[in-house]
Amino acid sequence: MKLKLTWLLTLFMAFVMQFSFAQEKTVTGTITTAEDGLPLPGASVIVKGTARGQQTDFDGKYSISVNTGDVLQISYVGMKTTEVTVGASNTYDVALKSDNALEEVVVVAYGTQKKEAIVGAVSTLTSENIENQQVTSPLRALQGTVAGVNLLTSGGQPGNNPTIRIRGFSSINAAQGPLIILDGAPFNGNLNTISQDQIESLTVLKDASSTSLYGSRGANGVIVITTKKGRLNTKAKVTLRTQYGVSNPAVGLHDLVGTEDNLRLSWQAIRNNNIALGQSAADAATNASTSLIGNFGYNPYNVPNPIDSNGNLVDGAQLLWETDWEDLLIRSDVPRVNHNLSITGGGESSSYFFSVDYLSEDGPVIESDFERIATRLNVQSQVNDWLQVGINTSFSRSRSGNPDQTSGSTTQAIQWIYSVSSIFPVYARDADGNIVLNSSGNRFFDAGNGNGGRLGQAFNATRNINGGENILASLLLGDETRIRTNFVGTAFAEAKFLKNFTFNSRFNYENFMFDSHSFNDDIIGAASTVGGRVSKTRNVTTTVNATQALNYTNSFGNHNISVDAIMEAYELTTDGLRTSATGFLPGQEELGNGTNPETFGGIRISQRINGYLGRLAYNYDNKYFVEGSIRRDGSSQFGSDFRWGTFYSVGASWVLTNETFMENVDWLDNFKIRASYGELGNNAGIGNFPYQFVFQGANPNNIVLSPVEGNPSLLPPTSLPDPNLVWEKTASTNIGIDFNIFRGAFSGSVDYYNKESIDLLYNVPAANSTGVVDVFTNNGAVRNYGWEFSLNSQIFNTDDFSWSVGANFSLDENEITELPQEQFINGTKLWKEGNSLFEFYMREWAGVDPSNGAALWYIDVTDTNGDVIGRDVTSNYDQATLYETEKTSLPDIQGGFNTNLRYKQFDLSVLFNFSFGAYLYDSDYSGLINGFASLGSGAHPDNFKAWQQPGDITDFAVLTTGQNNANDRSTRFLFKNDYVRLKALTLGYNFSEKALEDIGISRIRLFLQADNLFTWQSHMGIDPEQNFAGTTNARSPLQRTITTGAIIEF
Amino acid sequence: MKNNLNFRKHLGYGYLALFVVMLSLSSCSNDFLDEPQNTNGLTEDVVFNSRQITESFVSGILGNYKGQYANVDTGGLYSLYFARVIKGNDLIQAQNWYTFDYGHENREPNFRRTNFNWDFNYQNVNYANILIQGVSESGALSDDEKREFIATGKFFRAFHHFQLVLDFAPNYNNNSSLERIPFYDQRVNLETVTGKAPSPLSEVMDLILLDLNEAIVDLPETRIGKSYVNKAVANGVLARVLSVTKDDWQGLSDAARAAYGGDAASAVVSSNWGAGFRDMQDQEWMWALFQNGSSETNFFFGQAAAMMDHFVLSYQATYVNPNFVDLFSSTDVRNTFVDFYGVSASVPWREYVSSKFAFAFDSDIVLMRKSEMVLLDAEAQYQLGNIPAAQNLLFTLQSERDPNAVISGNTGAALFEEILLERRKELYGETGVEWFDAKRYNRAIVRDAVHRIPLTVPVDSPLFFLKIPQNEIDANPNYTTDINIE
Repeated sequence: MKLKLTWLLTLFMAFVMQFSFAQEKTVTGTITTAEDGLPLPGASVIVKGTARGQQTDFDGKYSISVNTGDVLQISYVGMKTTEVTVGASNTYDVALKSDNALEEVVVVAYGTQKKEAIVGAVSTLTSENIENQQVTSPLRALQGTVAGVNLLTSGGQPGNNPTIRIRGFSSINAAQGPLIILDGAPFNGNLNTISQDQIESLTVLKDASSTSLYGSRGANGVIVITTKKGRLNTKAKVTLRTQYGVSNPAVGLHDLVGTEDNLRLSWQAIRNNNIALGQSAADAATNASTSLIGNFGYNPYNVPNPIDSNGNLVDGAQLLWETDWEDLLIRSDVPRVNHNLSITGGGESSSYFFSVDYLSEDGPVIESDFERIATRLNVQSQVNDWLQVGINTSFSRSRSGNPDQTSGSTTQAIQWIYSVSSIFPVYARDADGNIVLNSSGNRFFDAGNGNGGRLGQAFNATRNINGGENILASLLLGDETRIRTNFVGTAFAEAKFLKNFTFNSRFNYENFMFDSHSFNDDIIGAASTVGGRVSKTRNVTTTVNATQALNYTNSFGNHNISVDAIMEAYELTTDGLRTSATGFLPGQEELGNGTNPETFGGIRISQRINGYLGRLAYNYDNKYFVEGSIRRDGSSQFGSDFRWGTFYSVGASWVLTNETFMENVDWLDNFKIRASYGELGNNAGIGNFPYQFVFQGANPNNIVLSPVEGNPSLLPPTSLPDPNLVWEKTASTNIGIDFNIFRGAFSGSVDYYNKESIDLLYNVPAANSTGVVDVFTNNGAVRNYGWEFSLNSQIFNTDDFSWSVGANFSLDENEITELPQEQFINGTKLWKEGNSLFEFYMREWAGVDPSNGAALWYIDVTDTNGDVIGRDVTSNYDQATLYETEKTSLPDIQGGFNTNLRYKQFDLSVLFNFSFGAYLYDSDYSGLINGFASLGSGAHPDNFKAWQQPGDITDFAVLTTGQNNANDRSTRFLFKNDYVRLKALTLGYNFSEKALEDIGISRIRLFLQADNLFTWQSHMGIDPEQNFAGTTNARSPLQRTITTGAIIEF
Repeated sequence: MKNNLNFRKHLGYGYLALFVVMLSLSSCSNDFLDEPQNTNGLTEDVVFNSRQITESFVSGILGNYKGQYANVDTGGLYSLYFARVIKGNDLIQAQNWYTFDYGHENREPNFRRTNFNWDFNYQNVNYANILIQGVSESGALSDDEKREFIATGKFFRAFHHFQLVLDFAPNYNNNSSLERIPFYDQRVNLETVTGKAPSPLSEVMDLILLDLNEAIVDLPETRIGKSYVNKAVANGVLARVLSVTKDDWQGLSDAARAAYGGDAASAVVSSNWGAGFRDMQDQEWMWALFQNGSSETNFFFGQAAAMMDHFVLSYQATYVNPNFVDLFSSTDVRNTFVDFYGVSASVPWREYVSSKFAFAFDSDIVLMRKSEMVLLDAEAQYQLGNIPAAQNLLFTLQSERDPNAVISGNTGAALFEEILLERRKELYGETGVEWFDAKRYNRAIVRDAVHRIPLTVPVDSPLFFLKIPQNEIDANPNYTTDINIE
């Protein structure tokens, strides 16, 4: 009892002592950076445990009233937060040390977190990383820089957006791409409207714990784009950047034979077919010579039968023309120009970031270009000590010439090069091969359908390949323009109250207008029969998003908690309009000048999501972190009984290096173990009302219905919707470690993930005799799992010389775990349980029969029970067995490596991206060795390797004009598609700051930048980036761009 | 004391703010989610709630006939017919659209002809069943309106099942117990999407005839226009069906007469010969696809005119067998053949082109004409033994087309051959009577040597029908790949 009293008394005395010492006074000081000792404006100085605080002024000075014994907490973004206990002194100067990775703040769902507190899988790309690349569509910067992100760009049209897959393919028929968040709200415009210089960071949220707050939209991963902001108390900084350079195709197209070779090969094919029809060898050869030109309908030589009965060019035959379509359609040394001005800074209570960016870029195909002006103004203001408000606005407009260079259409530039041989002339000719002039005395394009009054002309008028079209007429006389206008505005306010509460309200509005204008010429080409056609499309996409977030953060000793309660309301509205008209007088290309209205269409439709979110984060002494998130989402895309879903995640991490028992381990600076599990949803890419059975008017089932005698028409869908449709669900598990050894000498992360996606929104094939092709319902499951590695090493880091290297790569697997039917052939793939969605399934090529030149494939030999007992070869394609090739279009390993070197004023940064183990089915190539069943098409020089007589050992079947399967789908055209690309190289020189100071300039940098400079690939003739399914579609290659630039800052 | 007051004031605002926040977080949101409406189209209860909208569903079915379903040669109803046209000996197709039909090789389970003919017809069957069910259950339509729409639905159901019998089974009379295709008399729902089992052809044919006969009773004589169906069109289809079953020649004659009106002489008068075969207002045309000339211009549709007309910019793909040309007298208005290119020396099959069809975007597409019905009547009379009646009907048409025509003295097989030849001469390029007759009468198609692809299709060859699509075999448990073993 007495002891207890004494103890209480001692405690009381201690309080009295404390109180007696606690005197209010004003302390001052200067905050500097430890690195260079320069004053640090805008640093935050707070009395710990209170809301009292201020920011340092331009000179890094502060003045604050405190009690002795108070703790001053000094922080600044990118610096290590430092605490000072106020004692007797009235001056406390603090030098802040640069932050190491531990204190980094990263953007996460609905907020930011210290990197140390992250329990999930999150990767960040900062503006410094992005600057080293020239990415017209900014997310291309993620290729080769973030592990687990598989990204490719199909085709060389400038401004093309990449297709992005994060941690595999967790859907079959719904969208597989990630949700894109721009400054806190879903982005529904075109990504190429955002200029790369405006981006502060790209954060990739990969696992459940990081994406579950996006609930019904989180299953495919999330990319959060955060734009730049000004800092309080910083002088205005003006940065001018200018870049100019030239582009060329990064890789070449497939080789093609010229006219003489094409005719000789065609002769061979006709002769072989004649022999097959029973003619003697001599007759077959003679008949091939006489019928050759008749088969083409065109004669590019000055003699009636240019190929003799030996298959050679006759003496004296002279070429009248030879068209190099590739040379006419693909350009070299086209310019890329980029200028940028940004101004950023801040006063005591307000900060700003302003930027304007101009970009002009030409693509590989003639007429393909992209010109954009993008501006942004981000302003925020600290109204008083508890309220902050701000607004982010951006406006962007791009105009792009968009000739088709990625589809299978006849007027697609690359397809044209491959399918129309040099035998066919650019300009119209008469039956003798002379250029024909029109009434104005000018030559004109040959459309191959007797255009220009040449109907009935015996030769050189009617083409069996792409008749009615001429690609140059289509591109040069026609017009394909796309204009994209995007306005994004975000207004936000943040209020702190009751000491530990923060209320944040954000309102986001986005208006994206896509405007396309297409003109098909009135004289030549497909629209010539209707006097020309103008088609216009104008789609306005409006996104409105509002979030209200309440946060409570507090610490109780070593217990730190943070609680979020958030409500989100989202509406996406599309308002589309399209129309076309025909009948244009020469020189007229505006819709209003048309004579006949042709088509029209338009719809206003919207979808909404309402979400309630909660997050609880707890850590004990920054060693043990636990975080749980839950989101309840309601979506207008599903029937009223099925529209609500609940999504959640839990995650935890343990920072071993913060344990006391690790204090003596010097070499290990950071070691952290992370684990998370959660269930997420996906409802993207399935339309607005996928569960409803509605009769449609203008365009049901993708068939244009024209009015029947002026009466309106309606049809029900041929895809039967399931009214009980619900979200796709993905259960996602992540386990990872982060480490840092010898102060950054070696650091990195390793993650293992496993994603099980069920209830996939799936078009279950119906028996077509029922009158519907499929049922859109929830069925099927896939699993994606794999490893991700991200490794970095700072090899040297001195004042004059630094060198770092980094690598990131992932190994991803995909497996179908459930299908509504036993198996299903989807193009080149066999979908069944246990297979990858991407494993090729086709006949296996067995070479060419030396005795007769027939193409051979393997066929299983079965016993009487139907069991396979061996295999044989067959020349009957239809009977040949389809095999699971065990080759997939997904790489075994893909990623990137980079290195950064700095020596005094020079710096060099190099980024490679690579992909190994993927296969590609090259139908561009197979189309060029089609054995001349379609005379007049382009042909690959490999056709000269074709079998000609018994005994020839070759892999190329006999050429024939007859129906044959030699180039039909088989493993013959399945190629390994390994590649390494030197994606970005930047070599820079920075003028010495001391020299510049005198002339009032803070920075001058000269640099050289090269993109896609070098591509090493295992299969040539195509760009290695095609599509995830590993199929080709005559896509134009990406551009190799080399530019020089300068940055001036003052 | 002062401190205390401040604290209370502070606390008051704070809790008020918290209260407002919580209120905003929990506001009811079902109204918010219910507000967006599906503006894509009309729900079923709306469609069958008025005559006008139900009619537009019928228009949709007919609009789909002239649409472009997949490719030029697998477009709409016209492409089903032209594929049959090009399988014969009379016309020659360049290497262009329909070339695989021309080569008789477009019949494998994964080929587009096979898939299109199957899907297109069965989708129309399902539309017909939706129409019948929707109209039956409608509370807004009168009984008379219901009878008319149900009859329309039964017509479509019978018409498309008949096309399926023609395309996916051997000649009906060779083995009518063969099970190739199912007959659907109910619309599909989530439980029935795996499909029905094929029925014996005789059962399918009985249901076709039942539907047609019921449709004939309830369909009116009048109609909105010639794109739509009426009693006469249903009789015309019945006549075609009976020409395949070949078991009711009197019924065939009755149906044909009901279709052409009974007076052959006035029925065969046509304004379209020599005028490009493009105007459905011609009294001789019974059923056609209307083209208004502006809504169709987005595609080069694949009908006969777009293939056969070499005198305007189109596909210019179809030529005429010179031996067929030789069968026409010079005074026959149907002799539309010219040597346009002058290249017959090096490419003999390109010698003749026809000007029967003039291609323009407003060229209507013919589906049924009275002259075909007159010739079916002649055939029925021949089969019934009324030779003079057959000869007279034949001459009625011949003399209308050719002022120098003389009445046939043929009897027996020669008269029969003359009737079938007259069908080819009258109907070339339209619905494929050459193939149709070869199939139903078990005749071979023997191509002349001049053809680009000379071949012979033997009597009752599997080339007369398409294989069952692989998609159907995969999804319908009632089929196995054995169905395609020949």
